[in-house]
Amino acid sequence: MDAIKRQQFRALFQLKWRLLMRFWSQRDELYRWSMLISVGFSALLAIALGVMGGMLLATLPLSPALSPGLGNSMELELLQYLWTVLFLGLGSIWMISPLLFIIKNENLSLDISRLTCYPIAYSTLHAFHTLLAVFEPWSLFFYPLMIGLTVGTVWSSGLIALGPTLILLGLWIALHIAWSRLLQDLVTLLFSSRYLREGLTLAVILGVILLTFIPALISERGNFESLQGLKAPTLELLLYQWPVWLKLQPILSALVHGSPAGWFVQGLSGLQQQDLRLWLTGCLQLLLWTVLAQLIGVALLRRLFLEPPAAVNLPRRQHTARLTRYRLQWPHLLRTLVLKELRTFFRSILGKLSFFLTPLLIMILRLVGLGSSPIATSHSLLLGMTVYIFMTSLFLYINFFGPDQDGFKLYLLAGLPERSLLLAKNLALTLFASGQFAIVLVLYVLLYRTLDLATLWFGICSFLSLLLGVLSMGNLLSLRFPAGMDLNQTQYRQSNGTPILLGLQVMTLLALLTSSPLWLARWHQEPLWLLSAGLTGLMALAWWLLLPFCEQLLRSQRWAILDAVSRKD
Amino acid sequence: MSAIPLSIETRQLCRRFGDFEAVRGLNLQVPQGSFFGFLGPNGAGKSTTIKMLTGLLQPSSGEVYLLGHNIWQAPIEVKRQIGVVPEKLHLFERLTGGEYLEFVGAMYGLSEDLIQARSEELLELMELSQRNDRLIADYSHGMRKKLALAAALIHNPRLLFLDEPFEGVDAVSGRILRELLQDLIARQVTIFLTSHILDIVEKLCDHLAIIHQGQLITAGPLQEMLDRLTGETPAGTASLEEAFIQIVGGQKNTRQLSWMQ
Ligand SMILES: Nc1ncnc2c1ncn2[C@@H]1O[C@H](COP(=O)(O)OP(=O)(O)OP(=O)(O)O)[C@@H](O)[C@H]1O
Ligand SMILES: [Mg+2]
Repeated sequence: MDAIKRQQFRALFQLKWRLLMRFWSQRDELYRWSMLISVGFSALLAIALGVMGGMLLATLPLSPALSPGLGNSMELELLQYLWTVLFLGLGSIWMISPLLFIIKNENLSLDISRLTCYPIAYSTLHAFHTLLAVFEPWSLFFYPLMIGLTVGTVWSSGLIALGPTLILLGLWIALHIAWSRLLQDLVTLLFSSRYLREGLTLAVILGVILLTFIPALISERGNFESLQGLKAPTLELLLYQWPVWLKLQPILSALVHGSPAGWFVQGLSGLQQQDLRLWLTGCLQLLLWTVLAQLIGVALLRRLFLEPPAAVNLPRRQHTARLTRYRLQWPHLLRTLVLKELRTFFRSILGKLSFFLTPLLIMILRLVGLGSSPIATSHSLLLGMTVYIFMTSLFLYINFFGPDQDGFKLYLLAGLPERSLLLAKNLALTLFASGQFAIVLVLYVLLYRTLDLATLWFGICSFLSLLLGVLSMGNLLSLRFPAGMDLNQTQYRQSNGTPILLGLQVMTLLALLTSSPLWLARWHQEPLWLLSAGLTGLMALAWWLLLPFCEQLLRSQRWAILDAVSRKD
Repeated sequence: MSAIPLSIETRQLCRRFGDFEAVRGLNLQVPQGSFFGFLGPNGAGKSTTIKMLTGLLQPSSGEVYLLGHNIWQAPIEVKRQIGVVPEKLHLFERLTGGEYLEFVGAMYGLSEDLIQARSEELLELMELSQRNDRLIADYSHGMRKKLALAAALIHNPRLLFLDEPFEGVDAVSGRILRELLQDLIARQVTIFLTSHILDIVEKLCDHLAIIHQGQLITAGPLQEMLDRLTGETPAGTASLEEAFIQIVGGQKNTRQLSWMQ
């Protein structure tokens, strides 16, 4: 690296640090405290879970020498499969989780597309961009697990393994950071180019629908009854004769030899068996794929910067005509406001992205085979999907004045009644979420199970309860923690991370609350439909009671909101 | 072809957004050391052209040569020698003016002492040095423009692109800017400028190009263009404004709003 590059790097990090510090020092007391509490809570949880899980994993021996009792190779193979699948799951979550935060928690990030006017190589920019991902919150969550793994490995194979373990883990982390960045950039790119996006979405949907039939086929063919006909002395031998296993095994062994998780496990097992070559192969493979991600990433970043999203998506004329013909008889002001909101959502990249992300993720999950297990009841399955809707578009709910930016001035100048404004925002979000819910229902029927009336009722009730809860929370957070937000800015733009974290935590509680009719019904023998309807009623009441308070808050906070949302950066 | 080397040359430069052609087949030649005014009505494609010239937007087709290099083949070498004040100023709002210049200086690989000295001088000249601790977020519109110009000058570029630098700048600062730009021209820096303030363009520029709906309408030395127009107008004196409105086909009859009679 030449001197100028080094200097540029230093300046970039200094810039980042300064922006971060300024951001922190400009927040009020309430913000700082809520940030400390929510981050602290998440961190403690992650550390506890991570260290526990990591140590548990690391004490599962991958080497016959360490487990003399189990010494046969079949056992070892099974363990390898188990580990690989576990790490594959972990790695996928690691890579996909940034998509959940697609608006990203940008108090930590800066808009690096602004740096393109300086004489700085794309590779430098990309390296900087990737290095920053090391500190992104979703990555931070996985480090405790890695620490746990290290401790566990050193515990079982001695201090001498520390160095190699750290190298292996470092590569594993680097791989995921590089690929998660790549995935993020890719999704952004797809959603910013209309043709690409539409074509690809169509292809993905078709492909996924076709592919999702595969697990169903396997489970049709190889049901557990076929096990009963087999005779074998031990459980493993039995397993190895099970028809489903025979189909699954090539896939698993391909994973062990051909996936990052597999190489990682190979590396780990090389460590435990003190087999240097195995460890080295694992490391090299991981390194190779990290480098590959970097190379693709640079090319992608260049495209992202030089191809701005088409700012003007001309609305189709017939479309508007149709909308006006079936015009609902709402008060004119409310209708105008709601239409404006919906247009903003559907004509912006992030709006569209968050609308379609849930269906997309549901299809991906189905593909991976999650949720297809017979253990999950139809009710909880549907509930899970519904929770997803709000997870992926939470940022719209908790900062609904953000996208207005300078437009917020108009509300003040025109002297809009606070209630109309709040109602319009809530109504628009309700319509937005209802659209997603309808798609989810369709996907549920297409990809999972048939929908009986009871499940549908429960689904609708829990959707409404969740919605009302999220709206109430969103009203409070939007009024209290406003921040400018550009729904068309695909890259690295300021928004607030703390409200999101806070929102996610409240969201978890809400999800628990919404599932409470399920266990109440089992426990107390009350009819489920009544319980869930009752909960919905309660949530509606809560939302309604909170509304006057929010109005008050809006009245007292309006100048602060204007200041916050119209401030760029 | 003239003997003077060209600072900017474009060949059949095009840019499409979807099926809309923002810039069509642009052939520009900007002689070295000239003060080049790039004019056109709103939405004509000026900013799009500047973005393509400075390597911030990929052309759909065509080539761009700056100071003899193809910017799309040697972006870094070219970017080291040019300064840009883009239409949308990309400032970092939560830095102070001084910190911003420090950052930009480092991006161009200047030494710390040099950055320090130059940024002090620039802030002084732009009258931004009072209240050093003020964040850019609290700057006024004109102050931002001035800071962006300061940032574009800190590495002593040989070629300067200015997209509406005078917009929102007060009279006093406007005068300072003009003198500064003329000073730069005297030192053989080439300046490529867009502006809607035709008076300033007429006073400053020595070459002009007018673009309308993405197409180049006319280009050449300012005096030649004015002379040609003087011949055509009956009064015998043409201002640039007259010429401009005539060229881009503006309507003379003033219209009125129906409800403001
Ligand atoms: N990213 C984009 N997507 C779609 N169209 C664009 C985009 N950027 C610019 N355009 C269109 O290209 C045309 C030229 O825009 P440009 O910004 O170059 O105009 P301009 O000459 O700088 O105008 P002004 O004097 O108002 O600054 C406009 O019609 C604009 O709508
Ligand atoms: Mg412009």
